[in-house]
Amino acid sequence: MDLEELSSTLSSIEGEYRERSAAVASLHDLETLRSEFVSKKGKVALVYRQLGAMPAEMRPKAGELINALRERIEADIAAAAPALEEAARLERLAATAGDPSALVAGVRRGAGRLHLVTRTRIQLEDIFVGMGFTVEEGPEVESEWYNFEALNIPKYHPARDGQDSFYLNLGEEDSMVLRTHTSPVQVRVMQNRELPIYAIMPGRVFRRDTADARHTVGFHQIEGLVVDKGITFGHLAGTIENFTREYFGPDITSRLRPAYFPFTEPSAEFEITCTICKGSGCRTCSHTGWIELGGCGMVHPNVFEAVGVDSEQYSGFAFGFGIDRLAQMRWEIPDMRVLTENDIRYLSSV
Amino acid sequence: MRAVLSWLCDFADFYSLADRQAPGYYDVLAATLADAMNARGLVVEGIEKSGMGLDRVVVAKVVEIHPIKGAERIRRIMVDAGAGELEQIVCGAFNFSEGDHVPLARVGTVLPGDFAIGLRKMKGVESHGMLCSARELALGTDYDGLLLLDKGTDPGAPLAEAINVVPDIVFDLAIEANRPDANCHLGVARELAVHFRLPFSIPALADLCGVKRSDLDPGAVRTEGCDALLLARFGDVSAAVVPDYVPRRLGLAGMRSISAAVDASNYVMLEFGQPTHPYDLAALPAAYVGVREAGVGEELTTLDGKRRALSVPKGGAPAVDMVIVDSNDQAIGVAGVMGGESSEIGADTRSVLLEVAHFSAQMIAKTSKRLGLRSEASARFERGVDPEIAEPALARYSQLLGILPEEIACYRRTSAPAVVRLRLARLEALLGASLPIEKLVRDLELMGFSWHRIEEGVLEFVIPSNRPDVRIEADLVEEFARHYGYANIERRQLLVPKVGHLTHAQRMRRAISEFSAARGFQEAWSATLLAPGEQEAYGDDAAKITVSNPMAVEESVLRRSLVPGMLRSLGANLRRGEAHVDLFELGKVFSIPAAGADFPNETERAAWLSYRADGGPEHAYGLLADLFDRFGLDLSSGFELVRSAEIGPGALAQAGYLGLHPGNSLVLVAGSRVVGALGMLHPQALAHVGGEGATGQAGYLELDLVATLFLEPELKRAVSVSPYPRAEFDLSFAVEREMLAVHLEKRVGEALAGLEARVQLIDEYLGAGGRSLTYRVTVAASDRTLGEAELRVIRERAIAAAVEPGGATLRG
Repeated sequence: MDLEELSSTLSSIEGEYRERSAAVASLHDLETLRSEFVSKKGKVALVYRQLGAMPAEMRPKAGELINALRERIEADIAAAAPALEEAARLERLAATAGDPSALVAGVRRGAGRLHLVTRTRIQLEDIFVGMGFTVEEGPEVESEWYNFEALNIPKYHPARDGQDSFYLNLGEEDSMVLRTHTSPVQVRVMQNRELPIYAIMPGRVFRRDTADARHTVGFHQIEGLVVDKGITFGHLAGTIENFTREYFGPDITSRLRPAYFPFTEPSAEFEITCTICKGSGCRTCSHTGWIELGGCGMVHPNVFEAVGVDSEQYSGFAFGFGIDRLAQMRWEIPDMRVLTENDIRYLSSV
Repeated sequence: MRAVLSWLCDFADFYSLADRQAPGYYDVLAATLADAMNARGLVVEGIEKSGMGLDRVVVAKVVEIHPIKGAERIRRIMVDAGAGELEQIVCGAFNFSEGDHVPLARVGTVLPGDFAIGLRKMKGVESHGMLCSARELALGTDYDGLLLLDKGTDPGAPLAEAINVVPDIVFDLAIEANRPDANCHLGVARELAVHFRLPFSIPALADLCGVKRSDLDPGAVRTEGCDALLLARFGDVSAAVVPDYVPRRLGLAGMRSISAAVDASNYVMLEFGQPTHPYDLAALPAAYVGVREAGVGEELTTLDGKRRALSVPKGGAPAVDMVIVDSNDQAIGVAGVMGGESSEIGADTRSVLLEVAHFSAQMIAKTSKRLGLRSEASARFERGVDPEIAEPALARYSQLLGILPEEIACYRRTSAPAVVRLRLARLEALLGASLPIEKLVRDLELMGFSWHRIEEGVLEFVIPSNRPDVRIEADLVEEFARHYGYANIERRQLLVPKVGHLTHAQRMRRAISEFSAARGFQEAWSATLLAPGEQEAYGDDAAKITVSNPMAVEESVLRRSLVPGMLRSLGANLRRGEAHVDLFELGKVFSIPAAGADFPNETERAAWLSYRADGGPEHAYGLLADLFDRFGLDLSSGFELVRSAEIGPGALAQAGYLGLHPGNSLVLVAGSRVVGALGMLHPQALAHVGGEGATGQAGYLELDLVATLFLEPELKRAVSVSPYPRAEFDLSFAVEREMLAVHLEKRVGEALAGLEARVQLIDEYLGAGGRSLTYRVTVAASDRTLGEAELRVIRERAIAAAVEPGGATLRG
């Protein structure tokens, strides 16, 4: 074989390589090509092995030609690899593609919610804690003394009519009740805590009423109590107003009007701007522009006496209203009885 | 109470408060008065206009009445309403007959309350208008039938002219329990007259000076509960006529006109707040009645036809009711509550004995409550009737009837008026405002208070007899505040000298709720009061606290466990077809106290229920472990988990944990106390609430919060974690079915103390070959890489701990 033949062989190998490499579609094809042409047993190596049969003076030149071809092919293969590697990565990624929205029932745990009453209670607590109040608690089963007597509601007092109580078969007859309001907690707090007191008392209460769209047998109230030196009716009005604006927003204001509660004197009912019509008058507020929210007043001297607080030195105010009622207003709940049915569709709807 | 404008105007000229010539006069007047009433604590719950908007209502004479085929509740009425021909009306009332005169609202009329009359067709019969009741015309509250008109009225005449309709306004007022003085027109009018500073006067009263008077026989009143008894004997009242306005105003105030003698009695009650009782003298043995306490069990038939037993002791405590008795000492009425049937005024009554009395508010309240009988009279007496109003009431009665009594006998036990001192500095300090004292003192004078100065800044007030609500200084403070106007008291900022905060338990309650919600549980609120037998259905035979006066028997037993409520909620959801229900609840449970204690054992618990129709519910033990981890508590120290079977089903129910699967549940014990329970719910409990729909499985966890999650975790140092590689090996053990996986895990964990170790159950096998548990153990040392030899020793240590007596055997 002379140099001419060699050149022709090499150019036919190179031609074949160019043809084949144009058809390379994958890293695997590229590897096959490398193996066929430039591996130890590849076509270029086979030509190299024939070098021995050539005249010695031609060998360096021939070697040069063969090596040049190998380097060209190797460089070509190296240049082609990255694009093919990238294509391979994309192919692997495509194979693992999927639909992230395909969520089969039962896989999702779901997010639960707090009960509407709990959410309302927390919001109320936060407002008053923000004002500097603490949160106090008391038992749901109360003695008649805490629930009535200590609050200046003696037996046969007309005020006992409005809050017909569930009496329990416990101790002496009619001595223990399911508390009808959160006010007995006031008494406990005044007995057990150091003065001054700035506290709210949320909790469940019970009234012997037939359940209907606006009442459930058990429901929730929040009570507030402030006892300190120099506390005035003006402070009560200011606190009610601060609460009203914080909870209902700047469009809603409060007003107090005379009322009667045995455990406060003077007593007041507090009303807020109707949240439906913003005060212009609608069915909800009987066209008055105001809706009743709760009761309040200055702590009655008899209550102070029952718990041993000197009413000449200290004065205080108390207020209370329904938590469930606020939930009903906020979420426009047509029938309060749904609150105790615990239908998960309902609980998770708002 | 229903306050009638024209009636109030008998006391002061409230008509002058608005411009009579201006449009909408009555609306303006009503709004002005309602604002004043509200500001003074007489809460206006409704305003009704009467005698207005009746321009198109005419008098109609009923000519023919025909039944309608297939309709029992309506009839076809042909009326003559002056149109020249008969008009056909369909009517549902039955209180009239042919020849009666009734009001007709023709098609196109708009009745009070924006009720438009259109042409209607009922059962195929056209109705060209509506025949009206008093209430439909806003002329009264009577709704039992049509308003029957005088037969002297002309058919076709406008109703307003024919019966002299007077425009009027009725205020529906809610009067607070402490203001008995405002429970009558006199009181409301006085309050408003003071508010508007209008001249105030009492309407004409009959002059009784010339009437023969005597003191009642001292034996007539034989009880401390009656301090005044005035008896007036009237001759023949059968021809007496009360003024036209009496029945009209009574109708507007909500009372039906009956007869002159009864109407006058009711009128005086609504006007002066004094209940009176007229007796038919013919039914009494003598013109005399007395008051005494009823004997135990003494019986009487009241006006409502009911036989009632009096002075019946309740629960061992004596009960004292008062009765009115005739001269033979026979009970003829329950004093202050309701008269008896025997001496009721009737159509043929001629002579009347009028009783005007004053009774102890407390005794009437007790009697009324005991008998479950409330009347207009008892409602007034139990709040307190003005003891000074009896004489004027009698004079007013006499004036209305137009007849003077023939004789008056009276008994009176007077008591000194209440006197209350007010420190002006205290007044201003409590209200936080500086007040126009002189103006306010004048207001009180107009309300009937008198006063004198004791010393500088201290006034002593003599309280009028109609104000039992004013007895201490604070009451006067309220009276001053009311006259000043609550709205005029300036709001002041409360400056709290403390930092607000929640307690640990309160923060925990929120954290537990948020944690549970994040795990997919919905918060439930279930009933505290359960039905009898409801807890027994879940295995609880302990005694329970019950309500002595339930509304409904289904709500009469206090819950000892949260299970019944959670199961009720589950049942409700299953009935609606839910297959996936996760609920949690925080609430109180109650059990009978130890002997001697009054208060029950009231504890706060939390419960989680997870139900799946298919597949496994949330794992109750996993939830417990996560809760303890999340809140920094250690389930392996101070607590112990044992199978329910070990402590026995009775003991578990005794502790108030119910409804669990006996073989697939655990008890959480702290010391010797049960503080929680968890596992699968009993299939029977599921079936109890879910019926055939409950085919899935439910996991359940209930904890005593105070004894578990409310505990404050100990403050721990932060640990430094090992930087060395971790080694891992699996151990498989054959175990008894009773063995608790957590116990084995704990043993292995304890054997690896001193290392950074994690022991996790990775497989449970249950089959023919018995039961086996496979744990994956991951270990590292804090100061070195563990070598192979060391790891072998560690592995042997773990195995040894697991297979110790009563434990497991290693599987090959």
